[in-house]
Amino acid sequence: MSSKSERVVENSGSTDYSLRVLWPLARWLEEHRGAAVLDEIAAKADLTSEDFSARTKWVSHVQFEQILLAARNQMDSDEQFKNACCYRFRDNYGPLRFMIWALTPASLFDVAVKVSKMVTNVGRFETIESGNNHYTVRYTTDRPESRLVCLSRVGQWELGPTLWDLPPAQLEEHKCVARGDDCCEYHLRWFARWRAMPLVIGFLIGAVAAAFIIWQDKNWISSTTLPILGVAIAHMMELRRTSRLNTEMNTEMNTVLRNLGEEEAEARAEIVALQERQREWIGMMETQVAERTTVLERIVDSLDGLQKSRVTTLRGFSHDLRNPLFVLKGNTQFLKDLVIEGEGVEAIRDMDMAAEQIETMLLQLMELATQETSAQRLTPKRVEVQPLADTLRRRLRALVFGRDIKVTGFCTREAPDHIDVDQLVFDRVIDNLLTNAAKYTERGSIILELTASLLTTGPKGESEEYLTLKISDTGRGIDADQIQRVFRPRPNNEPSTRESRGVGLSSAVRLLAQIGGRLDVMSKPDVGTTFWAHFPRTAIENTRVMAADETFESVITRVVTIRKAAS
Amino acid sequence: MTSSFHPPPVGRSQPPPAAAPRVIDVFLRYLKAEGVSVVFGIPGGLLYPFFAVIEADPDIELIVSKHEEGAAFMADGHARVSRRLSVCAGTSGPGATNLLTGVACAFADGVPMLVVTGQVATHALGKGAAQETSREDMDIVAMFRPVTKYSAMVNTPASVAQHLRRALRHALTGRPGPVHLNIPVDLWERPLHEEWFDPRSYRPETRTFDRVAVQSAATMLMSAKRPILFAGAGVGIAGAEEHLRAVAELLSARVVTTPRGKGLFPENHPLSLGVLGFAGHAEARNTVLGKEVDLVLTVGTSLNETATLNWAPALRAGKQFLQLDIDPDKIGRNYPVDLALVGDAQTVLVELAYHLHRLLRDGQRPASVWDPKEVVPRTYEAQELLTSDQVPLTPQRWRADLQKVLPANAVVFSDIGGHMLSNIHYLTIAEGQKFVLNLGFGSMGHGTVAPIGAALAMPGRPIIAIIGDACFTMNGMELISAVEYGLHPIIWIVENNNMHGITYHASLALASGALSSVRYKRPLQIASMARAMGLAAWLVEEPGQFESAFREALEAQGPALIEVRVDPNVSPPLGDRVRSISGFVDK
Repeated sequence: MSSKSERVVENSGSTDYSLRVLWPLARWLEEHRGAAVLDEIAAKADLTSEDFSARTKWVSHVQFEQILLAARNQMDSDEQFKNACCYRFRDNYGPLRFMIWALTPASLFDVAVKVSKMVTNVGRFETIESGNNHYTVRYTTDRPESRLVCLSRVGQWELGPTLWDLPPAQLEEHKCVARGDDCCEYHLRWFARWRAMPLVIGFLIGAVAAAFIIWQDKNWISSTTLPILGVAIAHMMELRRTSRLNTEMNTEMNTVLRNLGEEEAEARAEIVALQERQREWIGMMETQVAERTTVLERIVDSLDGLQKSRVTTLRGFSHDLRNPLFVLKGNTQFLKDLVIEGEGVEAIRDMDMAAEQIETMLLQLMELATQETSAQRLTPKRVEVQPLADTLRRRLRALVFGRDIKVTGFCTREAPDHIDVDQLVFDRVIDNLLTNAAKYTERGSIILELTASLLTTGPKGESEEYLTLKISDTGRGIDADQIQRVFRPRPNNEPSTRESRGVGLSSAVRLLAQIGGRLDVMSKPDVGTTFWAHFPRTAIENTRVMAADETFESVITRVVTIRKAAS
Repeated sequence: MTSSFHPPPVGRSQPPPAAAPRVIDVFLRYLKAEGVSVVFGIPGGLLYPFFAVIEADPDIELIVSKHEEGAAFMADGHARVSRRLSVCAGTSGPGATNLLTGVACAFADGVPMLVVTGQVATHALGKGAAQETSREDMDIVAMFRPVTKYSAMVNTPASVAQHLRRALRHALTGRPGPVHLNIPVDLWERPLHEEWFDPRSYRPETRTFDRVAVQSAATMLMSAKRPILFAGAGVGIAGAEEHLRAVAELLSARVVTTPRGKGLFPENHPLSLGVLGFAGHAEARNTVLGKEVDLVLTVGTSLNETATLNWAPALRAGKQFLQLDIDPDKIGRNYPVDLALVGDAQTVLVELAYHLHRLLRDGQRPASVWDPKEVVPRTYEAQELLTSDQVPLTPQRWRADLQKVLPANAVVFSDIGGHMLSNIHYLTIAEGQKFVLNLGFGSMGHGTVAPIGAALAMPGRPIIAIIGDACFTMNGMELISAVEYGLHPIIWIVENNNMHGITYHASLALASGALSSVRYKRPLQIASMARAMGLAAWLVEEPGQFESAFREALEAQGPALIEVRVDPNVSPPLGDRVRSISGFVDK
């Protein structure tokens, strides 16, 4: 136990006392002196009146004393101050009071001693002695607490038994820190009803009545029956009293619980409203993100379109410029035959050379345009096969819209679930094949099938599984020469010939070869064409293309003349 | 409850040295080669080594159900949507017999499934060991025989692979179906040096068909003025939905489906006439049984009672009748045919499409007078209830609300009962959606549990199970498994009318008085039960509540359930069924 000289005089921390113990005092001040007074008192202690409600705030010893002193100045006496510190004592316990009902005053004081850390970090309570109707407690602290602190405390201790509808306890103060003692020591004594008291009273009344009857009538039977009757009546009355008390408490408890329930419902409703708002916010955010994404996609699409347009224009120009060039060359040849001497001959020779140069440049330009994709880096992507048939069928339907053509598309069970392929190459090959089928079919049907094929790829006859896109149409067909031109492999240094046709198909052939696939065709003019485009299931290295296909013989084997329809 | 009486064999939890392949290793290698990634079951002592290795295998997920019947249903659901072999397992004795109902469902509907059951050790066979189900005792192999394509007990390690290959061949060849292997507990960890067979080498790809018959069919179809394609569940088993559609569009043929085949042809397609048969649509019935139709091509339907309105003679009378089925035994069984097409539906339809294509190439045109763009408006029984605002709700009203919010790629399961009739009649399964109904065997509880397997097979795809309150009481505990494995989006919609509705209303229509014993004595609080099981749950009692509940359920990060309390006095569309049972259909 620390002596007074050892106490810390001015080393207050900001977590010495819980301000919650002063809430009753604050309520008293608000109601009896006005809210402005409380504001003023709080301000003096560097606080606000809100600190006396809503949530627990801890204050230093100095602040605590300042509040108490200022509050005391608003009172007429110490007694009034003490009562104000436990203003509405029972109400302050709230629903906890119903739990406390199951305890006794002594056990309540025990609990108070044990949980004292909830109200102060600088003081410690200890129980000295306790009994059925008395309790002695000691309080030690290292703070130089004033008498006001002591008074704010003792009122609470005195009113403890009132929670059981008993009279307040009588408090004897043995020691007090404010008076120079090393601790505060309180001895509490309260009225504890003797439980057997009503029975004893009943018994005594019965006994007295019995004695009177015996004295009057010499009736000895009443000597036993009347005391027993008295005990029984007393017991019934006690039961009735207890029952009434229980009923009152139940009613009160139900009211409190109902209020709590209503408050909880309100809180829940508020949470639901907040969640709703949150959902709305998220929805709004998602909408905005989706809108931005759409805008970005449009930009990307337009850029992609521009790029495609650039390539197409380049290719178209390089192709179409050859027509006037042929006119120029033809006329030059014509003039060459007419002008056989003079300056005109040199001029015509210059014109002829210039035309040759232009033609070479155009061929290079066309080469560049058609090989533009090959310069791109392959970026394999997973393509789901199952939904593809439906997509392609729709696309083909759009291409032949308005014509008498039945479009059919399906995927067989042998088809792989997915393939890893460069999306751009895949799309370009498919676009070429669909566009060709749609372009050259006037009536009849186009059938499109996605299936799997085992193709021999290795020198020792190893086979690999491919996704095969089969497109069969009833169009005008392609003649054999044209097919061979489409499939003819061209070495890198060989320039394009002037007879190059079917740019789309030959491009598809090269693109497929680039990813390790191949294109087969079976066609007959005026009967129809069937293409088989084989895509490898897994992406392969650029260098591992099907080199064996790049021979004329291999191309020839892939060109099959369609059988007669009648067969 | 089928927990085994046997403790796990001592010392078997540790695998032997990796160098020596065991029976279980060979077994699993075959399963993985067949694409198996999930095994459903409840571990027990006599199958402990199998489950222990499965649990430890990173490539196979073990899904533990609450009852072995649930394991079989889950495997069934998994196989139906993935169209791959599924595996379920149960220990010996009751663990095995509990599987039987689920296996029977798979058998009736042609679902490929491998069923593995436990058995006592070989040295104890015939001695009366606990839960013994050997040939000398209660013969589990014989019990499974009528409901599987192959049922056998493996006696020696050397014959395991042979039995397994044979079982897989049966399960996946021809009309698929379940197969059963019963394996004594002491065999699993025996060493086994077995030559590896690739699936292609032991399981033939039987895509045979009669080309001449297909050519004839193509010619007949091209000449038909009012052709009808009648699609059954076989189309779904063969994965021939696209091919059926291709043929229908090439010919401009109208399409009807059996109740079990509902949704195999998009019901919002202009050529669709809906369902013929049990709870079917008037347009389908009037057209197909009418006198104008001159050709019917059935595809993958056995033409049983529920599909043919009690074998209505008008389906055949005055028409050319073509039947396509993989099972020759089904051809001409109930109706004489003009042309039989025996083979896998997808293979034959592909070939048929190419023949039609060739005929078109030769300048022929289909003679069909059906307008491919003219949509036949559908009429429903008690149509006015679809928009009714009455409380309690009508089964029609909430289905109309569901139709508005059903995701475009939803897989809808229906259980068995009155709600099933409403599902068949009132729901429209559009392009991209799928409908699953176990009507072959008709076991209640299938539509409640099989969606769990489907959700595992198709993660991310919305799985919607429409079930009745009676189905929930039978197998609802399996929903706990869905919670445990964190499946979503999966929504159970429980139509609660507090009774076995189909039985009650049928008895009301058929007999002099209703069978009141099928009404529950105590109202069921299904949403509350679901919440207690860990599902997010909603209760719908009034018009206007369903759509928002469904949208929220779709967003739930776990399994969800919507209890819809409906008016028990509103009868499901029982008309055809009652007429069928009563024998009123004109023959």
